[in-house]
Parts: sequence; C-alpha cells; structure tokens
Amino acid sequence: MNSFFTKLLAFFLCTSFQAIAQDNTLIKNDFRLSTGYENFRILDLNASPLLYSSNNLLVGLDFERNKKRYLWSLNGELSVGNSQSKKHGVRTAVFPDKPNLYGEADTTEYELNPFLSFVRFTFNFSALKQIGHSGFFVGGKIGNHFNFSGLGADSWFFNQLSLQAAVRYQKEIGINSKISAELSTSAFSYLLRQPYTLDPSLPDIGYFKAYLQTGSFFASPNDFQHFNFNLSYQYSLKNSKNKIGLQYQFMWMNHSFLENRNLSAYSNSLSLTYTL
Amino acid sequence: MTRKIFITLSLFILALTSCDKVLLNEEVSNDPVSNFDYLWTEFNEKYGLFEPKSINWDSAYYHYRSKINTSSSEEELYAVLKDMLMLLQDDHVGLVPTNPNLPPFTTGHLSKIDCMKDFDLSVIKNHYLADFKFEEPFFTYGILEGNIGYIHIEGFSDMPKNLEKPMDIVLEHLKDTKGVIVDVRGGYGGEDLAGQYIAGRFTKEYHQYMKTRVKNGPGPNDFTQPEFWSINQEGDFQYTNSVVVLTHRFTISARETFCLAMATLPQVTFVGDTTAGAFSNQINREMPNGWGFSISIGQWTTANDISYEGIGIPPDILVQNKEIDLLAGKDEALEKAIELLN
Repeated sequence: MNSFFTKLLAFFLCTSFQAIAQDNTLIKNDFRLSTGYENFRILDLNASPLLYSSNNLLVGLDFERNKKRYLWSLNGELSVGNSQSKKHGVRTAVFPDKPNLYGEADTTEYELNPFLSFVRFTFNFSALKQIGHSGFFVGGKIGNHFNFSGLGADSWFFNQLSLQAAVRYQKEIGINSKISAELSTSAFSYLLRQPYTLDPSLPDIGYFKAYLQTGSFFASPNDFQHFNFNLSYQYSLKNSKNKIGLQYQFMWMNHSFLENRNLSAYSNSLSLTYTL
Repeated sequence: MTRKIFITLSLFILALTSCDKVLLNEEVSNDPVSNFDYLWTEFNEKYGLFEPKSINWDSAYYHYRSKINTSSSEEELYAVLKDMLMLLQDDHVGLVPTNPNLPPFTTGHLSKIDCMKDFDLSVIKNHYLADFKFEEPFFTYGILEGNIGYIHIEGFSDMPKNLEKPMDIVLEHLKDTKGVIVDVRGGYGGEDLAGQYIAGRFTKEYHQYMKTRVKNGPGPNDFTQPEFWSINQEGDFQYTNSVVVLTHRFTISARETFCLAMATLPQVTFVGDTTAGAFSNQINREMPNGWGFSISIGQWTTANDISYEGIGIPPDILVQNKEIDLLAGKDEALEKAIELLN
C-alpha cells in the first residue's frame, strides 16, 4: 500500500514540472460556482465523548484548466452552520449568580454552540494527467482543510495541510452531458490539533503560535487516514457554453491519537453547480 | 448498464450518509456507570492538582463507584458525583447538569458562600468616588479624597493588545496621585496574560512571579515543561508610586495570578481578605449524558514553587468588611487602604 502511494506521489512530482508544447486550440478553462448542503459529523474523543453533527450551507468556487492531456484545478469551499451533539441536541447551561449585597441575583445562560458555531474551509490545488486516451486522469493534490467548531462545551479546531494522490474518471454522455468521479487520499499530512488538555499556556508567544508549537505534527497514512470522493454531473445549456450540474462529495478522516482518543469525521454534501 | 451504475452509485451514496458506526469510532455509552467511569477517568488523566492537594483519586474511585449501578437515577448519580468532586475543594471544578432540577455547583470554598456580602462597587461609587469614570473593557476609576487614585478591574477577559490604550487613559488620569488603590474584588477571572500586562504598568523592572505547567498526557506525571511568567515595564509610561491591592474571597483565577505578579513589587501592599485559591487554567468538558463539567488542568505556583491552590493568597493586612457596614455605605477595607496611602 505504501509503495503504491509512493509511486503515485513520484508520478505527480514528475508530471507537475514537465514542459508542455503550446496548443491553444486544446486549452479549456472552466469557472464553476457551487452552493448546497453539507452534513458534517465528528467524534473527537480527546475533546468530547459525544458525536457532533452539523448541517451547513456550502459554497464553492472552482477553476479548472484542461490543456491537452493535463488537468489543473484550484478549488475553494466554505461551509458554515451549527454543530450540536447528535444525541442531546441544543443545550443551554444555566448558572444562577450569587446574590449581591442587596440580595439581587441574576441567572446567566449560555447556549452551547449557538448558530454559526461551525466553520469549515478547504482549499485544493490539483494536477492530473490523462492516462492514454482513456477517461482516467491520475496525479496529485495539495490541500488545506480547516475546521472550527463548538465541541465538547468548548471551542475546537483542526487543520490539515496535505499532499494527496488523486485519480479521476470523466466521460461525456451524449452531446450535452458529462459525468466525472474523483477519489483522492492523503499521502502525507501536517496536522494542527489542540494539545492534550486543549490549552497551550505559553505566555510569551500568544495562543496561535502556542497551538502551532504544541499541537502541530507530521502524520503518515499510518497515523492519519483521509479520503475524498467527488461525483459530478454537468449538463450544457442550449445555445450557451455554460453548464448546470449536481455535485456529490464525501470526505472521511481518522486520526489515531493516544489510546481511546481518536478523532474521526465524515461529511456528505450535495451542491448545485454552475459552470462558466 | 448506465442504469445499473446509477442504481449502484445511489445505494453507495445512501450508505455513506448514515454510517456513523462504521465510519466513526464508538460514542461512549450513556448509562450511570459509564458516566461515572468517564468523569472519574477524565479527572484522573487531566486534573493537575492531585499531588499538591495530596488527594488519592484511586481511593475515591473505589469508594464512590460502589454507590452507582446501571439502574441508578440521575439524582443518585448527581449526589455521588457531587460528593466525589467535593474532595477536590477547587473553585475551578464544577458540574452543570442538563436536568433543571439538579443545580450546578463548584467544589471550592465559594460553593459554601451564599452571596457576596463584603463588597459592592456601588458603595464605592456612591460614597467614596465623587467623580468616577469607566474605560472599556472593564476599568472603573477615579480620584478619592486625599488625592488617592482608585481603579476597579471588573474582569481580565481581554488580551494585552486591547488593554494598552485604556490603561494609558486610566494611568494618565491618575498620574499625579500620591498612591493608587487597585481593587480586584468582585467580578470574574479571565486571561492570565491580561493580569501580566496590567501588572507591568506598575513597574520599570523585571520580576519573575509565576511558574505554570499543564497536563499533556494521561499519566500522573505527564506535564509540560514549566513556563516561567514575568513582568517588565509595559506601555509608554508606568505608575510606580505606592499601590494597595484590595482582595477578598471572590478574587479568583486570573485576578489571583495578577495578585501574584503585584506581590513581587516592593511598593505594593495587600489589604482585605484571602483570595479564592483557584489559579490553574480550567477547561470545560462534557459527559456522555450531556452534563458539563470543568477541570483544573495544571499547576500554577509562585516563581519559587509556593502553591496557593485551595488556600488563597493571604493579605498583608486582614480587613473583613461587614455586611451591615457596607449597607450603611462604609467599606472598611477601602478606608484602610486610603489610610495606608495617606
């Protein structure tokens, strides 16, 4: 398994820097906007014993350049929503304040994980090469995935910068339709997780740098597993170069972090797309 | 063929949308015994003060675990957990049930005090400060009779970069006073960094005042390397005349670490009552049944390893305000501070 990833990685590195003869008639650029719904589920046993589920609005922007047999793409996606324990739902903590000198007392209420307490941002750059004249493309991606959420009665975040191997299959169906499916997996990742007690406590360097210093590390596929699957359908509009479409995405990740402290998450999303 | 592929893919996608058990690890079971075990284990692995407080947490498990079984009610679980957590005597340790009939509690001495009867800022505003001002985020200040400055710090919840300008304004107003009373009674805790910055506005010299380390693993000796905290001159100017810091039993957490910093300054005297004795950082967690709880995760000591956890910082001059005096408009601790600075 590891040698397969090594070969894919080497292939990506070789093809990324190969010179290509200019042929403008075969260059095709697409801009694609997408919007849709995402469900994200996470169980981080270092932060909480509970599975959290969030229903998010998803927006994305893609740029794809198809030049001869090479496919380059830039993709950014933002999802925002709420995140609540799947078992317990919305919870509000109510604290009665101690009465003051005059016997007056208030209560303080905190809603755990209020609306828009979940943010996820991903950014990817991929380079794929067509295999022969088939519909298959193979190559690699560099991607970053950032998560911020309310989790476990506190705030929680996670960042993953990764080098991924990718394979795509695309096929024209008739004159107007196109379907594509892409699978990618992380070969090598740089992760940022909160430290063990979620508190870095480094006074001189500030919290952000403190988290980088205490909670960041390289992870191999043995420690961190990550898969992305993307299935899309596009239909060309009459008398136009533009296309509308549907896109389904699935993501799964698992990080082994101390015994009984795993982080695992997966998401499903469905989006409408519009390609210019 | 296309139809078959479409159906296969659809079923595959449907499967992917609801496979929590396959795709994620197991959620911790939600029964009374599992909840007890989970809470005990979280404390066993993350609580940083068993050794300074000489608490045998294993004994607590054997004693209290026998009182819980899978048929225990929420009320029974609450009672057992409360008794067990009370062993810690820590105002940063608390439990917040989701059941509205089960009141939240903390486990330190503040849990035994019904109300704050020895301080109210309105008494100072109404009877001592003829002309008080307020500067965001949390400074009430003015000049008392006898040209003595007064600053009340309501909280320490902001970061140093947001405190420079307000402190400039406050200290500029008080720069010609013969002394300043810094009042950290009432209010709430916050960020140790805020206290470090504010204390740095009262010195031109370097002083090391605190050492901290936090749990970084499940073992009893899994702590980070100690971090040393110090103060040095902050801002464009510093106030270095005599200072009296007013404290009481509700002076807690970041307010107390601020006091540790101020205690290194030779021109500072502490008046009032002993502080709360809860210095460590606290994290908020939850149980499988959805109840919230908080844990102290480290060891906070002075630079020379003295721990005031569970004890509090005693004042130089003990003055305990009486409720009846306060209701009559008299803050005895404040008056003692004024007397010292006069």
